Amino acid sequence: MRIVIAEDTAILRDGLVQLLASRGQEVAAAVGDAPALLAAVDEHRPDVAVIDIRLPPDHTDEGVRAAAELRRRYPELGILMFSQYVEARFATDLLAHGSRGVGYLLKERVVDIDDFVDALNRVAAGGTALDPEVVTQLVGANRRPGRGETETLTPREAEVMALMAEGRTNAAIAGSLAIGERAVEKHIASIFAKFDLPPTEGDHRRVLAVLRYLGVS
Amino acid sequence: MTVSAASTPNPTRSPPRITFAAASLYLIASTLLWVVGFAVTTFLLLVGVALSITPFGLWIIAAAISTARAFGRLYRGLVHKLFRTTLEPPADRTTSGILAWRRFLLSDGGSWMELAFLFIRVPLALLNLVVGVGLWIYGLLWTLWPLLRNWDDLYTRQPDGTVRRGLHPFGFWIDTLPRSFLVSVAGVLLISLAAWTARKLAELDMLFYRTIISPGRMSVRVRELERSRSYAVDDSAATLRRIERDLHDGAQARLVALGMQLVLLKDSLAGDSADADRLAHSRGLVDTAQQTAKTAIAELRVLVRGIHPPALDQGLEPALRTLAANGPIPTALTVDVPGPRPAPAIEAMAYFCVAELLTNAAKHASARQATVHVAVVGDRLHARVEDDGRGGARPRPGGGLAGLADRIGTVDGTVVIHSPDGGPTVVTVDLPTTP
Repeated sequence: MRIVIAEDTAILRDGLVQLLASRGQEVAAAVGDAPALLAAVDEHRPDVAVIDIRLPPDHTDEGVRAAAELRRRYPELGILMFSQYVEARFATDLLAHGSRGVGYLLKERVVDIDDFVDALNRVAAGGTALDPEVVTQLVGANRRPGRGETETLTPREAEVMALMAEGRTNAAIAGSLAIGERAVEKHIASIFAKFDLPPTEGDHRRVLAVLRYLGVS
Repeated sequence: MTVSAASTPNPTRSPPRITFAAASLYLIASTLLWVVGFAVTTFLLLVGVALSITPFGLWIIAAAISTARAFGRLYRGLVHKLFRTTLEPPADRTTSGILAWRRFLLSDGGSWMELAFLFIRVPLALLNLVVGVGLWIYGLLWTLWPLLRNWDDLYTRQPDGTVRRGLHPFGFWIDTLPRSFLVSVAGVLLISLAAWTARKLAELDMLFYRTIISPGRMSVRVRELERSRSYAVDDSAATLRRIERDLHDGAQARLVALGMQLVLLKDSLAGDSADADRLAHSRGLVDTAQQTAKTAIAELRVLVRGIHPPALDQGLEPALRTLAANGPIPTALTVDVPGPRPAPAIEAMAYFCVAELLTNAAKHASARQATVHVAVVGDRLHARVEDDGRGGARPRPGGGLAGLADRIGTVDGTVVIHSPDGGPTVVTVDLPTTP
């Protein structure tokens, strides 16, 4: 997997490069600001870009804006936003055009490096990787009347739904909840029914359910 | 920079006790004051406006306002002397330097109000002159009529052709000495009327000042308070933002980095750690992690000190001693705080003012040493920071000194900056001991 990193704090940038290299990943470039990121992606055509939300000069949302530009230029590029805080607004912006190849993780998740690499792989392959914190905040931020279906989920279904929103596979959800994969499939089918999502091809229903659950569609 | 003056003494609100003598003296003195003040100020103002196309215009207009302030001060002094009553003065200037003088006068609402007062009191001054002084003069003339009649040359030719000397109001002839005493009696009555009128006119004057000028001052004051409050809100938001950013880029990032380094260390320790190369590599990683942890702790310490210096809990003096000892330049410190400690917010404000001024002295003025003197006198805390740097410190909008003055303004404190080019710089901060 070819990776480009945009992170302005040198100590984190270097640490990330070392860690990813130690897991056999190819870091094509590690840069400190948005223009350098755009140039590096143009040059290296990576599978995924890891982008700090706050970048120079103003340290506000430069990373999110660069991500939007990258999405426009390279629809297939996986984009993983990376920050010390979760801001529901940025997550909403990020998911505004769907959850394909999008991720948003807290920086501290790097410490579980294998999970982190796993998330990068998912995003590079067009999947989703949302931090549990992002899921909680989005569900909270977009809670409003008229979304009764979310409230009708059983506690177990809600747990499955949250993990699904993080971008996990059925096998990973089963492992995480210590239940069988069949049970997970059963819960998901029930969620689809409650969300009134008719069967379609591929993963489309799953994506729709996640976006509906997060309140961004 | 127009920081409000120190807390104004509470103006006496009860109606002043006005004696006849004081009121009469007041009428004469205030009228004279107005004749001179009006003439001088109008002259300056006209010249200033006429020259406003030249560089001198604004200076002369500022001089006119300054003159109006001087006459206002004389007027309030007169009122205080005669009636023992205080009229609220406008805020004073808190900066030194000739340019600051002009800027203050031209932009200060309170000073323009003084000028306006000089002009809008003109009708009252005229009334004082005509009624007050006129009644007195006629009262005196009439009272002294038995004497004065000898020099009087009022002759009236009567219908029968004869000429008669004397007054004849309402057809009644006053031409004998006994009859002239009637005029004297009327004169005494007129003088009592003058005295009564003088008192009423003086009261009217006070009332005018209190209802027209003081509320104007109050609205100026309210504007100042609104400005200083909005500054306080902005300032605390900016402070929180700075703390958040310091944490984000500092300790928080280092802790994440520490986590990463520990992952690498764990990798390195996996497998056969007896391998000498691996062991050396692991030791190197431990060193790095240790260094990262140390740096994070140091950054947190600096950050905490910036929020609230722990030494401040012991008092202003220990905190300032620590500050002076760790400061960028050698600093001589004297602290004289007898009696109860100032409020914590004031101590913190004084501390951060001194800290900022010392930093300025080292950074901007290239000073080699500084003297700090802090004293509490009554209910005011004075802090003076003096350096031997190159001077030329001016408060600029958005600059550090202006921010300092704004912060001090939030508690009605004042700052006076004396910093001629070439130095030395002396900055005096005056704060109330309770906010």
